Amino acid sequence: MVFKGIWVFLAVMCLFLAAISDLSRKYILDKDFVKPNEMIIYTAMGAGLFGLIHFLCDKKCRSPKKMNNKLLLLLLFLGFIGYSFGFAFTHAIKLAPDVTLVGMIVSLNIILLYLISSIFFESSPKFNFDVFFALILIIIGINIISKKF
Amino acid sequence: MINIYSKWFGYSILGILFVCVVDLGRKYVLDKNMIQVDEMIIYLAMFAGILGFLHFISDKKCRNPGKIPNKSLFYIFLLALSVYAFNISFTRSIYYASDVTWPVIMISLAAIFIYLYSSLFFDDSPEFDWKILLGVLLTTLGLGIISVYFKD
Repeated sequence: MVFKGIWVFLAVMCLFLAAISDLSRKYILDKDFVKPNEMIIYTAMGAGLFGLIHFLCDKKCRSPKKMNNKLLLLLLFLGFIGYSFGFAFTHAIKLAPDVTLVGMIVSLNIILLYLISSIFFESSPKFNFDVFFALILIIIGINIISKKF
Repeated sequence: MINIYSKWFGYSILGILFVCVVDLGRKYVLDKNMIQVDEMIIYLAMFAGILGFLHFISDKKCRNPGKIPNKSLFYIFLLALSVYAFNISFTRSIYYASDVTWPVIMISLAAIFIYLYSSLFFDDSPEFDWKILLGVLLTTLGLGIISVYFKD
């Protein structure tokens, strides 16, 4: 059984935080409290502020000067892609009839994640054909949801 | 039936690609021990904040905080807090897990909670439908089977 260890507890926390975050976004956008772009901007700036506070409180965190440029560039790239995800996701849930649909489609990233990490990442388990049955189940599930909406 | 030509579907597909790059990128950097977990959380959030600020400057339609009602700002503050808390938990989780797919599988179960809550309590969402719940459960079952067949 693979579901053991501290990461499971953290992932379960993520599960609830993701649900709260996604539902809150949809609620705020449905009620027209703010526009999608305003939500993207202020949420990112708010997270940046929390990051700055975390940086000031964490004495072990190295300053950017002590990191190599390649790593900083990689982090900047990841930050940019993360921001792009926030942009695409917020617009998708604003336009979609239900926030669940977007969440379900985005969760298909598991297939890509599994393929790439199992094939290219040295520390990940090797590729296993048995998972295809499970992937078919996932796609059937998605189809049922999409047809019934 | 979902209209695959609709804008939200296109944005969702983009979301798949972006989230893959971010998740794999985080795991790659952490696996290579190039950075500590907390440093990654902090710098990604700060870079996102800088990008948000640049977006704010370039988007002329974006209202400044003084023109947004306090209630809305408070909701955004709580949202940013939950996003940051999510990032802390997620980054630590993928650091400790042997494969980045594991935590993502568990997080995808959030779709069930989101569906139940939005269909029951959100005015604009479609009404609760058992057949849709069946679809969600099948998807979850598929994710569960993946977890069992994975050789760690």
